[in-house]
Amino acid sequence: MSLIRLVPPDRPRTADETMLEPRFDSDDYTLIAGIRRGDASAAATLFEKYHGLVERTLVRILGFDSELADTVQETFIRALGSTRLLRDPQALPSWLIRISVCAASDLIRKRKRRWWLQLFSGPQDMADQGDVWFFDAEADMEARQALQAAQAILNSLPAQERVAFSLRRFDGMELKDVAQACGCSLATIKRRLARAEARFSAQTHKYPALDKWLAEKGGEET
Amino acid sequence: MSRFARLGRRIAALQDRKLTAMQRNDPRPSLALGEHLLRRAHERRRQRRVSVAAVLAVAMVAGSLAAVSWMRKHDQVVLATVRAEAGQRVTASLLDIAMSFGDGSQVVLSSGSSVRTEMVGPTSASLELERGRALVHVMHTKSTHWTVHAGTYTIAVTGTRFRVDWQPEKGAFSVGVEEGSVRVSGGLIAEPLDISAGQSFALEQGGTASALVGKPGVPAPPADSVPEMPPPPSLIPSSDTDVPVQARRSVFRRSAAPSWRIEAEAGHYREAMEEAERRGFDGICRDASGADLLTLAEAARYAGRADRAEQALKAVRTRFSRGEDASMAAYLLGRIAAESRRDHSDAAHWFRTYLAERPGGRLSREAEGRLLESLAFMDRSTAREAARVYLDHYPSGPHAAFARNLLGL
Repeated sequence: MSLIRLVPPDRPRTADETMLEPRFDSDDYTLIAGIRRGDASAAATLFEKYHGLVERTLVRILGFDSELADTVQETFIRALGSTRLLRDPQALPSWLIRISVCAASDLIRKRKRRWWLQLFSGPQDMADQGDVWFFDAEADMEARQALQAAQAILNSLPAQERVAFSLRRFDGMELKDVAQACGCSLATIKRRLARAEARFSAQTHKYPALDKWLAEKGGEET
Repeated sequence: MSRFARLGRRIAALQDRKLTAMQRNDPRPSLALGEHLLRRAHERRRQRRVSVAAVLAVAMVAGSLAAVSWMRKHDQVVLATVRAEAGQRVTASLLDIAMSFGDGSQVVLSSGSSVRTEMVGPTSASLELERGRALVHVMHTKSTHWTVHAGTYTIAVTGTRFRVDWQPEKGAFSVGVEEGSVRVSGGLIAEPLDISAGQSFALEQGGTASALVGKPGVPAPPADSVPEMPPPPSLIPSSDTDVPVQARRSVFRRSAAPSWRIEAEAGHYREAMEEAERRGFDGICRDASGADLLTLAEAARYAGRADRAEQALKAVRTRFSRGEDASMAAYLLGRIAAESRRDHSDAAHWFRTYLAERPGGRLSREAEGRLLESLAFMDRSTAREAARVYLDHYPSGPHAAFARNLLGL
């Protein structure tokens, strides 16, 4: 199993990404061996070392969701409960991304089921759609509107297409890495991505701010 | 860079800025967090094990119920499953036994049934149902070739599910096809009979019921519910049909076979005679049909009981004096006289009787030839006269060389 490249080669690493580098001396072999022995300090170290990676992957897919922290923890619980399935500790980062993708997909599907149940059970709190976005106070209104629009469109996509689109377009993953994270073939990911982009394009006209962002060429990130 | 890639970079940059702010404030994970995560993982694993066990248990119960339901439908409660091997005899004494084959085919033997595997291949098998009932499910492939024998009946299968019932004591045979189709031949069946899904076929004791019932696609009724119907003409030819003796053995069947006849037709002549004696040989000679008596006479002859053979044949001559069976009996009496008793005078008498009763009959050539042989032992001049007649009738017959030798040609 090859390691997933977290940052595309043509994209400069931001200062924040250095946080993903391990700050502990424990290598992944020792870490996994400790976890398999039931060592709580190894579990805590795993969390500290890879919390950033997991959280960022989940944010790419879910946004700053109200259940983000729970999903991060859920990802680590799943990982700690199945370390015996990890044959190569070197593949730990890509394995954690895979588990993050599964946890995020499960949350999206659970939301959709919940939404349907609420629809049939009468008017209830429909606010919990996972589209709660947090952004900095200095973000301008246009960025806020574009982000909200992007999130609204993402929420309308099927879970598999949403995950493929988010990992490829937001996280900048290579297609083969997206396929590995989703546990499917490259051809399948290409199809999902094509469908997601077609659905995304079909809805952008409803959101002028997002439409404008998409039409812009070049420019710096705000 | 595509417009989606540009959009993604802008959104990711906003997300990363927020993430940085969030993570800057995160406290360093404590040992308690590690313990908490490990404990939750352990609990989750245990719950999953319990869930898997519960699902498996439910699946097993459901599977068992379905199997029992299916077996009950067919009156089957399987005690054990054995792997089929060639040359094996499996007997289901009190409870049913399933036999599994390499290609996934299965035979479920009802209690009181017995089967012998003559041959078992990757996609083929040849079984002999010695007695009782079997539910046969053969997996279909291009090379599937299955044969199930029940007494003198043969069922050819390519992929189907059917039940077969064979009671040798009663001579009762039945087949009910649930899926696919089978071809049944032998026994009392004159020509191979194709039986499709939803149809059943039964031959009961004494040949009183011989019927193909049901419509294709409709579930076959159980064997016990097959109504008595007159035999279809294609299955049982008329007794007047003019067929050779050897052919009669396989084609002409007038009634369901008594046990001695089953043994005789299986080539078990000594057992056939024992059975006939046990049942009362004289009674059989008094009551049996001409065809059965001819079979009995042949069994007696092959079992070395020429006396009993002659008794049976003379019973035919007495009881069916005008029929073909009587003429056949005359011919066979001639053979026994010549071969067993060396009484050539008596043999010549019987061969002449046959030729007188059946001039131009199917066995005329053989009768004239045998007569020639008998006369050669008695009177050379009479034999030479008979040789001329034989050569006149059959110049290239099997006794032609013998006749020419007698004539010095």
